[in-house]
Amino acid sequence: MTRYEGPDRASVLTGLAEGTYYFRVRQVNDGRPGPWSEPLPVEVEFMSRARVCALLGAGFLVTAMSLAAILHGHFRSNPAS
Amino acid sequence: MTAATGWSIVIVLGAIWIGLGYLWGRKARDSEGFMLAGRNVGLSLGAATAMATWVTSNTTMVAPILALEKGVWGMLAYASVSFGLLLFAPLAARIQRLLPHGFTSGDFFRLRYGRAGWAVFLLITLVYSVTWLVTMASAGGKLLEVLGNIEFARGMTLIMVVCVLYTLFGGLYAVIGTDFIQSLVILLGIVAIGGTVAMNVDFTAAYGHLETHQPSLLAVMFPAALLAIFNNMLFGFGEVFHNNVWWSRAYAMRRGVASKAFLLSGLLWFPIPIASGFLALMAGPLAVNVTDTGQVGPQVAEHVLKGAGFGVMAGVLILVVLFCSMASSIDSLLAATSDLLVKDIYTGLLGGELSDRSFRKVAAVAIVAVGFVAWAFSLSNLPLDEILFSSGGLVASLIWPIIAGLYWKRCNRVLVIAGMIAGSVSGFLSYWFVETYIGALVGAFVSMVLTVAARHVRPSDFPRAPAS
Repeated sequence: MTRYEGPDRASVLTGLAEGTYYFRVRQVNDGRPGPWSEPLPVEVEFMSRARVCALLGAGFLVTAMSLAAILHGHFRSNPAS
Repeated sequence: MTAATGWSIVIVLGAIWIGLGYLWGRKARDSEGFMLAGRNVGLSLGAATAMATWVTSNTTMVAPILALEKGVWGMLAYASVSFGLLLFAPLAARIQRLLPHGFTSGDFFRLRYGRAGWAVFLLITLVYSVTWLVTMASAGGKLLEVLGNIEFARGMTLIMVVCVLYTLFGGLYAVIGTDFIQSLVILLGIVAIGGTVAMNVDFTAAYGHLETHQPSLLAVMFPAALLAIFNNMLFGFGEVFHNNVWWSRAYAMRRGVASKAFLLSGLLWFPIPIASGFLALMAGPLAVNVTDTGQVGPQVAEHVLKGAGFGVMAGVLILVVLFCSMASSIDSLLAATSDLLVKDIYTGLLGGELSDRSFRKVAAVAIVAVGFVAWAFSLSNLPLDEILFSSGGLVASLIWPIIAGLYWKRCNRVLVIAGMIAGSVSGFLSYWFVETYIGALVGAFVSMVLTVAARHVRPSDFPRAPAS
C-alpha cells in the first residue's frame, strides 16, 4: 500500500493498531523511480491493561475528590446556595 | 498566501489592537486600574475575556495534535480542560469574599502558606507562565510559517512585539477590551470554518478511512488517549486554579458576576477544541500529508476551505481567527505575569516601594522582560505539545493547596508545601521518564495525598482574616 506520494520529505503516521509494520521509501526523479530502501520495521505496542487501569483509577480518584472538596466547601460556606 | 499578505494582516490587526490598547489604557489612572481594570468588569466583558483567554494558540494548535495522535478520545480530552473554568466559578466567588482587596494569586499563597509556600508558588507559576508563553509564541511563528510563508523567527517576533506593545499601553483595560472583540472573531471564525468543513466532508467515507487505516483513533480502548482525559482535565484545573491570569479576572469582576462569567465562558469554550480537533482527525481521510504535527490544524483547515472555493481567503480567514486566539492569551499572560513580578517579587519579596507613577514604569519593564524571555526561548522552535505537557505536573500540584486554602480552616502548612514540591517533581519526572500524558495526573495525586494528610497531622489554624 502506498502511504504517501509527493514532494514532502516527511509523513506523520498515527492511529495504527497494535502490531508490526514495515515501511520503505524511494525517490522519483523526472518520473523515473529509484530503488526501494530496505524495509524499516515499526512495532506498535500499547501500555499494559493493568497499568492503564491503575492510572485511570488514580485519575478518577483525584478528579472526584477535587470536585467533591470544592462543592462541599462551596455549599458549606454559602448555605443559601 | 504570500509573505506580504501575511505581514500585512498581522501588522493591520496589530495596529488595531495597539490603538485600542492605547485608547482604553487611558482609563487606568492608578495601579488598581492598570492591573484590575478598576474592579468593575461586568458579565459580558468578564465572560468574553475568560473565554478568549482560554482559547489560546494551544486550543487551536495543540488540540488538533491531540486529536491526530489520540483520536476521538484525544479530542474530548482537550475539551475537558473547560471543566477548569466551570469549577473556577465557585472558587472565584470565594476568592472575592476572602480577598476583597487582593491583587494577585501570590497574595493568597503568602497569606495562607507563609513566605516559604509563597516562594514555591512563585517559582512554579513563573516557570509555567513562561512555558505557556513560549508555546503560544512558537505557535504564532509556526502559523505564519505555514499560512503566510513568513520565516518562523520573524513571524514569532512580529506577534510578540505586537502583543507586548498593546499590553504595555493599556494594562488590563486594554486586555479585557481587546479580548471582547477577539472572542467574537474567534467564535464567528470557528463556526464558519467548522461549518464549512462539516459541509465538505463525506462522514461515511471519512469514518471508513479511519477504521481501515487509523483504527486506534476510533478505538474505545486506546490507553494513551484515555489517560489523556484525566491528565488534561487535571492540567486544566491546576492551570486555571493557580494562575494569576484567572485570579486577576476574579478580582477585576464586580461582586456577584465572577461565578456566572466563569460558568458561561466554560460552556462557550467547550466546543472549540472539538471543532479544531475534528480538523486534524480529517487529515487522513482528506489525504492531507502531515509533516509537522504542530501545523496540522491550520493545514487541514486551509485545505478544506480552498477546496470549498475560498481560494486565498482561506489562509486569510484562518490567520485572522488564530491570530486573535493567540493575541487574546499572550496579552493576558503578559499582563498577569508582570503583575506577579511587580507586586509579589519587586514590592513583596524585595521590599521595593511604588507610587502610582513609578508603578507604570516598573510594570512596563516587567512586561517587556517577560516578553523578551519568552521570545528568546521560542527562537529554538521546540515541539509545542512537549513543552506544554511537561509542565502539567507543576500546575496540577497546586490544585489541592488552593482548595484547602480557600475552604479549610486549618491544616499543616509544611506538609502542604511538601506536597507542592513533591507533586511538581514527581509529575515532571513521570512525564519524561515514565509516560507522557500522566505528568499532571501524578503531580495532582501526590500533592492531594500530602494535602489531605495535612488536614489531620498536626494542623494549625489559617489566619482568620487574610484580607486584612
